[in-house]
Amino acid sequence: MTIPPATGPKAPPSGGADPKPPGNRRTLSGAAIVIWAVIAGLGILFSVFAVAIGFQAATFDVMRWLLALAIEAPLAAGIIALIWYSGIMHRATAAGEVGAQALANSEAKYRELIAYAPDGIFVLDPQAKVLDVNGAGEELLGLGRGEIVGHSLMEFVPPERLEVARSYLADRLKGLRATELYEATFAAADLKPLHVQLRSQVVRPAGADPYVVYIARDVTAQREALRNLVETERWASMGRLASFVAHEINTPLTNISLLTASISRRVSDPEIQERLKKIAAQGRIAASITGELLKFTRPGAINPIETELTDLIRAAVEQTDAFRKPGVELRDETRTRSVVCAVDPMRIQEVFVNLLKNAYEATPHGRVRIRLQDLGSLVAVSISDTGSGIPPEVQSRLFEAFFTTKKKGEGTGLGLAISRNFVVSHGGDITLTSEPGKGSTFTVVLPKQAPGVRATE
Amino acid sequence: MLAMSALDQPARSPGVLIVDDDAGIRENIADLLSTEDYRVYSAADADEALHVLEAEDIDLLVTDFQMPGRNGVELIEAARKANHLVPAILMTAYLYVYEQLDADRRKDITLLRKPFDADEILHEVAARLNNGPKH
Repeated sequence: MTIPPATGPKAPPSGGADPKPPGNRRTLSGAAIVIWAVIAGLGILFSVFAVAIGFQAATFDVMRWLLALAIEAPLAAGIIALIWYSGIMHRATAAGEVGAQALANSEAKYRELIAYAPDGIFVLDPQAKVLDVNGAGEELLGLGRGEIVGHSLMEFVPPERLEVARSYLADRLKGLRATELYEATFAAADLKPLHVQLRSQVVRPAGADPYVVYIARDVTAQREALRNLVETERWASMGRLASFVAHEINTPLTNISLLTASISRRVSDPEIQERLKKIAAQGRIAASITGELLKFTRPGAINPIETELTDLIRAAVEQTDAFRKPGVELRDETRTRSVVCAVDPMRIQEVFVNLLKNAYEATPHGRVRIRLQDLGSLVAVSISDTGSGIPPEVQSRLFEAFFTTKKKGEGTGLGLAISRNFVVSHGGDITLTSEPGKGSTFTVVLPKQAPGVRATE
Repeated sequence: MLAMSALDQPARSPGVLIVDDDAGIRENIADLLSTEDYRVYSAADADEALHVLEAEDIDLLVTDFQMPGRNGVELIEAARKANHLVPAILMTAYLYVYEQLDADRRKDITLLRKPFDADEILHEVAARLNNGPKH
C-alpha cells in the first residue's frame, strides 16, 4: 500500500512553497508589539503623571503595580491608569473648587474681621505710605479712606513726634525692636491729640517688598481717666495737707500782724516804723500763700446762680489792671456782649482773675485779648496774650498743682490748678493753645445751665 | 441849748466783744483795738461771750468760727435770739462757712477771712460801728 500523497493544504512542503503565512504572522505580532508598547508607554506615562498630580502616599505602590502591569498587560495598565488618573483629576478639581470656595470664604471672613476690628489697622510700605486702612483706622484719624490711603502715615503725626515715629518704623524694618507696645501720638482731623498704643508687625513676603502692619488702639480716654484719677487723689491729699498747714500757720501769722500794728501805733521812731512795715509786708506774703492753700480745702459745693458772665469778666479786668505793664493793650471784646450763665460768681471771677494775671505776667508788651463765643448750650471765654508762649513740655503740666514757672515767691503754682478745678466742677473745662514766641490762649468753656452740683474737691 | 447839752455829754466809746479760743489772738486784737477809742471785752467761748453780752453794753461782736462748744455762727444766732441785735464779724479761714449761710442769716454778719492783718480788722470794726448793721 502506498501513503496517500498529502493534500496540498495538509502537507505543505517544509521548504516554504508559500511563505506568506509565516510572514503574515510575523507582521501581525510586530504591530501588536508596537501597540502594546504605545499602550504600555501611555500607561506608564499616565501612571507617572497621575502620581505626580495625586502625590499621595499610596500612589507609589499603585505606580509600581501599574508599571508591572504595563509590562505584562500594557493595554489594561493603560486603561486602569486612565481611569485612575481621571478619578484623581476629578477629585482634585472638586477639591480645588471646594478649596477655592473655602479660601474665598476665609478671605471674606478675615476682611470682615479687619474691617470691623475695634483697633485701627494700617498697612504701610517701608516708606510709611499707607497701602490699606480699616474702618477703625479711618475713625481714629477722623478722615475718609481716600484721605489716608496713598498718603504717608507721617502726615498724621504731630511735628514734635515725627522723629520718634520715623525712627520707630526704621528700627522695626531693621528688625531692631520687638513688637512691644509703643505709645504714639497722632493728630485727628479736629487736631485733638490722640494717644494710641501701637503694635506692629513687619511682613516679608518671598520675592516682594516687606510691608508693615500697624495696629493702633485709641487710649486717649483711658489716659485721660487715669490722669483725672491721679489728679483727684492728688487734690484730696493736698487738701488735707494744705488745711493742716494753713490752719497751723494762720494763727501765728495773724498774731504777728496784730502785734506789729500794735507796736507801730505806740512808737514814733521812724527807723522802727520802717522795720515794722517790712515785718508787716513779709507777713502779708505769708498770708497770701496760706490763703491760696486754703482754697484747696473748701469742701463746699459750687453755688451756681444766673449770672451775667461779662460782669464777672469786667470785675476781673478791674481787679487785675494793676498787673498790666505799661504799653500792654487790653482788648476786651466782651464789653458789648451779654451771656447769662448759671455759675458760682465768686469762683468763676477768680478763674478770670487768675487767667488775666497770668496773661499780663507773660506779656511785657503787646496785647491781651478777651473774646467770647456763644456756642449754644455752652459759652467759651478765651484770654489770649502775645507773650512768649508755653513750650509743649510745660503745657502738659501747667494745670498741675504746685507746678510753676515763676520765680520763688512770685507764684505758688496753684492758680491754674484751682481755676481748672473750679471750672471742671461747673461741668466745663479750660483748654490751652500756645505757640512759643507768639503767645498763648486759655479758653474757659462753661455750660450755660448748671450741671448736677459737684463738690470742688 | 439842747445842742450844747448833747455835746456836753461824755462820748460813749463803742464796746467791742472779741471771742476766740486762742488767747494770743484775743489779747492781740484787744491790744490793737485799745489803741483806738474802743471799750474792748474778750471771751474764750460762746457761753462766756453770752454772759458778757448780758452784762456789758456791747456794740459789735467779733468772733472766731471754730471754737470748742458752740461755733461762731451758733454764737451769733444765740445772741440774736437773746435780743442782742449787734452787728457781727465772723473770723474764719473757710469761705464756705459763710457761703453756706442763707441770705437771711448772712444779714449783719461780715466775713473776715483769716489770715487778716491789723489794717483789715481795724477797717472792718470801724466800718461796722459807723455804718451800723449792713444791709
